[in-house]
Amino acid sequence: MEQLHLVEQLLDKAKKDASLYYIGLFFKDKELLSKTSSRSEHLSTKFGRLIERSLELNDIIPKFKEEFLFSEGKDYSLFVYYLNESLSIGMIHLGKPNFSLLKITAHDLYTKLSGFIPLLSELYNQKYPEHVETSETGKDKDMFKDDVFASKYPEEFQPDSVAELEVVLKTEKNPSVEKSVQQDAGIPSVEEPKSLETSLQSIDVPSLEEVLKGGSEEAVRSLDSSEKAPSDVYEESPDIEEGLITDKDFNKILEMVKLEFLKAIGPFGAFLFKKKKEEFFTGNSATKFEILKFINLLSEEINTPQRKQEFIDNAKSYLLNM
Amino acid sequence: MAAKYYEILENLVRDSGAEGAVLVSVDGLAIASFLPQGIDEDRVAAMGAAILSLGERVTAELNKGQLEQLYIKGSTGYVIFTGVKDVAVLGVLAPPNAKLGLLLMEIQRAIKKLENELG
Repeated sequence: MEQLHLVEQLLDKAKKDASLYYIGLFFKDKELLSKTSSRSEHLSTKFGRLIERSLELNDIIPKFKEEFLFSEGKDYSLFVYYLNESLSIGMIHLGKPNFSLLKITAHDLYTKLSGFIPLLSELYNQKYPEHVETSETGKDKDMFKDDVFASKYPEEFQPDSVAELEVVLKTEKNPSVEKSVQQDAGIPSVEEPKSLETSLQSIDVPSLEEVLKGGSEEAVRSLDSSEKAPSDVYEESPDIEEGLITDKDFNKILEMVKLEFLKAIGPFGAFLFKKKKEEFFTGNSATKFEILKFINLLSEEINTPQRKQEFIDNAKSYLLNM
Repeated sequence: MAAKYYEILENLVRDSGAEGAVLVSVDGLAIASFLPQGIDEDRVAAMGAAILSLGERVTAELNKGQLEQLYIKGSTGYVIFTGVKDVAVLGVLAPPNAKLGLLLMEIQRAIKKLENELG
């Protein structure tokens, strides 16, 4: 609530600074928040439709990528500043048009809003849940490619220990996990990754890579116990550096993870996913372990526990099938 | 008649450094076009008519009358839609480095010629 209040304050400030008649945040044609002097209930709806129509230029002209829309008359101006392919700031000014002021105001607001994207995503999901549901069923083909939903993955390759791995990967300390890891002879804490890997390489157990590739049934069965402590997952994956996924496969798996993330968090997920990906990955390759960590990082953005778990399960299933 | 419209559009594109132009009826049907390859004439036509119409609904809410022109800047250039009286819409595509002032001037010249032809 406090964050929402902050966003509203930002809109208020922009409205006052540029003497705006109307300022609104839109997701496609849907108004999320606004500040206005208007008494008309229809203004935001009509403005939203104009914005949505303008976004179709991306389909007509390849790689068009809207930056702004502007229209002026003698005593009004309309300005839309596109934050990305879905999110935009709409502004209406009455009086002598001043394009420069509108553009500077919009850009300034954009830089301040960049930290509030997850909040806006949540707001969209709350205000328009029917649109989120449509996306999740995969019926809205404009939002999602449908070939991924047609793919099936074998049910047997969903070991519970993957969920346990997630517990270990969480950044906040889990005393019980640390204790069980440290109690094991010679295995250092998870905060010392290099020495951890060295220790693990000396342990003779089926590697995580073998399990993830669906190598032996025994290997899968050996992990298929929800009572195993998270430390066992580390023991069974000595060759963490192997299983490097590069280029085409890397992009493919990330694309699938992204789609699952969008299903869980809504259309805003695209922006958030891109940001997290750029922060997490430096190049065009990663180990499966790193991708698992990335999946866990994304899952922290999902507030609903059920959706969070579904996302983790589905995203990791794609990784298991690589 | 169609040839005359085409000639006006061609001259506009040539004189202003634009990439293409399309003349559209208010129903969204193309009257004449001079567009680069790969651009769907019908979609640009439909969009031009629709976007000006939607813009006008917004200005109507503000009691500000007709919306005559609207432009959108993207990473690959500009798309400018201008009303031609109440009967048509002129759409112009321009590269990102286009001189907008010159372009808008040439568009106004073309509009006047089109208004004469359309009657």
